[in-house]
Amino acid sequence: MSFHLVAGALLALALAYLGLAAEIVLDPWSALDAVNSRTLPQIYGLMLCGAVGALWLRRGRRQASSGDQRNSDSPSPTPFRLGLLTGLSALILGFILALPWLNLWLALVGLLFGLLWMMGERRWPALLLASLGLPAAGFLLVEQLLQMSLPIS
Amino acid sequence: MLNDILIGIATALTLSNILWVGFGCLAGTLIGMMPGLGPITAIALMIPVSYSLDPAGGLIMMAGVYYGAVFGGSTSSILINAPGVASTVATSFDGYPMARSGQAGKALAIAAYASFFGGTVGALILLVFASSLASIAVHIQSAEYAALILFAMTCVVVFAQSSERLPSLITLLLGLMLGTVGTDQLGSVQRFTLGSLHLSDGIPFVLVVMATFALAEAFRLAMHATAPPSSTFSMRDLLIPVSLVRRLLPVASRSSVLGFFVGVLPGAGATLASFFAYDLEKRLGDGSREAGVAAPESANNAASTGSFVPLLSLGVPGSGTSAVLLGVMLAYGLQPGPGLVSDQPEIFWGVIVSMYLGNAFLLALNLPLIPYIARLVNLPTQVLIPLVITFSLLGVLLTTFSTFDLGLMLLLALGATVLRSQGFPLAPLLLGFILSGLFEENLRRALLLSDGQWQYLLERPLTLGLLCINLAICVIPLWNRREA
Repeated sequence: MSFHLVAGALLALALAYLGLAAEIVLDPWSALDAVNSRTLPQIYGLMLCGAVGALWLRRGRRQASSGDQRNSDSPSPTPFRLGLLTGLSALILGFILALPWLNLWLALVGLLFGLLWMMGERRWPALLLASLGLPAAGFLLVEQLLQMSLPIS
Repeated sequence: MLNDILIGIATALTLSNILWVGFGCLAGTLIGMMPGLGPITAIALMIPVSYSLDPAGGLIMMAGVYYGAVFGGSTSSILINAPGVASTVATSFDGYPMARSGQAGKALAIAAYASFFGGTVGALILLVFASSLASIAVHIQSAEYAALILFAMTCVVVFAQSSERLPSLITLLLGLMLGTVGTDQLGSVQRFTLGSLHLSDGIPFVLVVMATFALAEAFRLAMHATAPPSSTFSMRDLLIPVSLVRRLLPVASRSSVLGFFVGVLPGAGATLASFFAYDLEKRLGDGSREAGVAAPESANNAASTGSFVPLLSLGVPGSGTSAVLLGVMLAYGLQPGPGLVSDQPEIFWGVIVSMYLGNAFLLALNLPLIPYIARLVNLPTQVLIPLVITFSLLGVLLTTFSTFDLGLMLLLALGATVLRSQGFPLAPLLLGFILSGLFEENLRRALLLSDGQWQYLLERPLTLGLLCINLAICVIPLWNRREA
């Protein structure tokens, strides 16, 4: 993933944060305080803009001095396998969406099975033991032994 | 006082109380090992059990639970990079890489010995200075806290490697910004909630730590599927070589003393202590991974002991955990404060002596278990990653019961993964998040007390001293660079 994309996203985040900070409603007394509800967020937002700008400049200068334009998008220390990341995220999102409709422990069976399968586990005993055993143990521990109810909203 | 201490020793050393402290240590360790569940949860879960005991026995058991949970948190930090509580985050910085390089058992053993050492030093200092420390702690006020927190944040950025200073500053600021989400405690104003009720109480700590450490780490591992570290570990490995002991002894000593005194400050606690100790070792020590595990572990255990000073002698809880303990004491009809020391010495000194006993139990219980616990990292990644993801999701779900929080956690984890892929360190983000509320609250309170006069901060010697040190550590690297 490009550094410029990440830096651009950080800058956009800082600007959005500053925009939201400006919208914080203050009562007349708080508005007169030396440090009110807005002050520190505004400082953080401005500092983030400055820091991202400085980092952007520094990396740009370093790339220019090295003269290797091919490297402009590749200082990524960690290569990105977007497909697997998307798959894992989709599975977790599916688990979150299923929670209000399914029982937690049933949803957990699906999540574990999916995760194990996606990570390349193909041994059926391991698949079944992990995806059924863990939710069963959790159910026994949390709902039976500790008598905790799970009001998931 | 000697008589009171002897009464405390006699109380702690009854057979039933020894058994209860052992039970507390074991239960605390098991609960603390679960990602997302820390000392607060452990103590809260054990409250029903403590009610069936007499006050001394109940509090002694709770001390064991506290220590056990702190150590259990270190175990999950080291093995799966999922620190359940803030005070064990610093342990994961070097502990987890050690585990991934096949040294899980060694890291766990160092953590166990360092915890024991920190707890011992803490208990000894507490035994000698308990009453005088309490009177000093009262003089540390909001202005000093704000300066201390600023100092901690500056250290994280300034003492990073020169190429990592700007990325550290950026992630620190992101953490500070995340910490401002929710209802402003002093102004009672909603900030950055985007109109969502889910965010009005702020973002839970466990969510941020699970997203940025456990889930993001699982994503990173998944994207670089590597073979699990092949670590074989036997009981013989628990015997740390004398050369290493000689190297780590000074590390654990200075970290324990530092940790204890930071722990005495109400509100600062084990988290700041562990970060300070880690940072100190990385800059001034030999910078080895072993020292990186020993320093925060001895500091957070000593700080846990230190946090009992304001609780027992002033009735002021120094951390969230001691606040829960305060609730337990009040439920027993005890009123912590100077009166507790003079009127019920068997409880005050009994708890202090049992802290040491708890440490000894912790070592005796956990060392034999280490070879078995360490095998967790030998699991193949295709099994380990699903387990880490599941435990981190469960950790958040069983704490907040909210699917919204799970969605937010996924979002933060993806953001953290992207940042990490670009070489941004994530530890400053967590530190910023933890300290954000504390910093703002103390700074604003100090300014409210001074009617908005900034010079008030400069008129307080300790605050001025801390601010000067802060300025110096910012300027000296710039000066050095110019000279170079």
